[in-house]
Amino acid sequence: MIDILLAILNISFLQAIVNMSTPLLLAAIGDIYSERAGVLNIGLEGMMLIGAFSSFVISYHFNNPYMALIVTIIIGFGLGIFHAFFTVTLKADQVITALGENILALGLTSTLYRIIIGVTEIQPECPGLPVLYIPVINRIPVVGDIMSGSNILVYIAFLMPIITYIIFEYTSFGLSIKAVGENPKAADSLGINVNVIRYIAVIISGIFAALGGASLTIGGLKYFFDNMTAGRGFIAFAAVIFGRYTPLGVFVGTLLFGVSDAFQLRLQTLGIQLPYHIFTSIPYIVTLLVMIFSRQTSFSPKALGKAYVRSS
Amino acid sequence: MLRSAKKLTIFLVIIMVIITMVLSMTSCKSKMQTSTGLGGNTGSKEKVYKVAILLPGSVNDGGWSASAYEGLVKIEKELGCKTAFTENVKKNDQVQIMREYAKKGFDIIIGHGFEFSDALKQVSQEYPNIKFVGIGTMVTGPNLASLQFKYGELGYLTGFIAAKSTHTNKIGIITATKDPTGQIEFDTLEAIAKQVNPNVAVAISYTGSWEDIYKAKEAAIAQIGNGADVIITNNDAGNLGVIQAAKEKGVFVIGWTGDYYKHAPDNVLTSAVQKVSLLIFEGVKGFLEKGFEGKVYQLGLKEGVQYIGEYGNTVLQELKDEVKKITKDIIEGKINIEEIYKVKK
Repeated sequence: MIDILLAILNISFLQAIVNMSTPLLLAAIGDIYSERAGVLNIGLEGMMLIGAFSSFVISYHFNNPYMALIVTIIIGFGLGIFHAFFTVTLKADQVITALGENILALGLTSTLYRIIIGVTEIQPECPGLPVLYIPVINRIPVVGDIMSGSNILVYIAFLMPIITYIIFEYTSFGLSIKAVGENPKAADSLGINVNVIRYIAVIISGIFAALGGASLTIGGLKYFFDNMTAGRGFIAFAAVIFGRYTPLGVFVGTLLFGVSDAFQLRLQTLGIQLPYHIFTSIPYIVTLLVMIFSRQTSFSPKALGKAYVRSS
Repeated sequence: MLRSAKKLTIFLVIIMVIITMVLSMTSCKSKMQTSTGLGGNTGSKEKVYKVAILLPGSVNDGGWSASAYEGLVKIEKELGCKTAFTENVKKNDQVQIMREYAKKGFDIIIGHGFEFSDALKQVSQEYPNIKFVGIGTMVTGPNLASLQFKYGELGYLTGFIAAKSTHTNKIGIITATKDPTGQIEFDTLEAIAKQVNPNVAVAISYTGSWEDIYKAKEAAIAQIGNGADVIITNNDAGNLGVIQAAKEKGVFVIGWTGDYYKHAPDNVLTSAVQKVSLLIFEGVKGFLEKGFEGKVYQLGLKEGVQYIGEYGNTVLQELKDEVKKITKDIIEGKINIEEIYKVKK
């Protein structure tokens, strides 16, 4: 028992939580916009993978991680337009579209990696985002230590829930998104352009999913590898539902996932004689339990998943 | 208006499907390599054997699957066979892909990894005239053989090196899943480490994924946080994440499968190199030259298919000499490794 406490009562544990949560948080926070506007985005996984790939390639070739960051934002913008074009303009099934995008992303990144980088003896490493030193934050006792090795993406990830909260609660843009997701017809009659709002919301989701992917490569490992997102996009999507489509809820959800994952990895090092499957499934079990005990009716936006047809 | 939008949708969906199909064909489906493959030294009338392999990962994972690809290239070059491979084979596609190769008239079909056991058994019964081979499997049949690395040899050697190198008396192991072959290595490793230094503690972390490098790195950081200063990593692509963590935190690491010396010469102690390429090459060569038997073939230090790789800059000559002597003893049969892991069982 004391061993377990010692394993988690240190800065390294808290840093691990931040590291594990950042990619999820970026993708999930962006996804709130899309979901609240009524467009499902299960394509997060593919968008993250493309973001991870493009940021790696740009940083590797031009030796400039910040340039990679900007290009990733542009590519995320493009991914958003792509998803919105199918789901909003063409009114295609939102789930099927996303599934196609995920498969496309996996094939595209793996193939392009072989074309651009090829099969190498040593895995090529790209320059990573430098540690961002912010004097005020770094002087706060514990927080400063946790953030001491963090780059700009970590700060963006942890600022976004607050910004998103403000946008949804205090701006007309946030209100428009919510209106479009709840009752597009009413919103339309009030002069809100439903499709434009949905386009913007999906683009925001695309940008942050791509940044979530970038946080794995230029913000973390500096390597790219086939399918390296390993299902994080789906976990981020689950975190949005888990967090009831609210910034605070999503923040707690991704953090909970990060905490339980960092915790189970530390538990394993203690050499407790239990099947390892129990440890690796802890994050999922925790998520399930919370879902079960927060039994209440659906919080999802009423028009979620439905394309808006004006004429009817 | 609505109608033309619908037409456009259908058109775009078709385009997307085509793109996806083309991409998946070039990336994960069979890259049929249509080399002429006529062995230079043999007569041109001789039958050209066709060898296909199914890989669980991608050919650039720098480990398990990359090594198999290397072996396949060697088979094509030196044995003059025609070869083909399929990357990233998922569990539920195994049977189908094997059947496809069988129908295309391949002579030898190889499933690369323990997870292919069931599919090999099933499909080998359907095509009795085709030879099936599992790598790291235990399955056998009239036309089904398994090629294995001799168990425990590398576990013995790495356990010895790790126990001699740790200062904190904590050794960490990072791998993806618990499988019987890996378990034997780690049981042997732990037994030897404790023999060398009774105070040593060994802890294993499972990440649950061979390709999640990010998680492998976090698992390594957790091990290091717990005091481990020598980490053995057998995690395919994940090895890169573990080595990166070792570099950042300044601890020792022993790689597995590939030779990882060049990735971090000051942190990598050595690597437990398993030349899957040679295992497959030697195996197939044996089948073509000496004939095929439906049994489990075990190749190891003696055949040169597995060995201790390049040493890191910090390893002392004394330790290298000791390892050399143990290697010789194992090859000559003076050390019986089987006894060690059987006891642990």
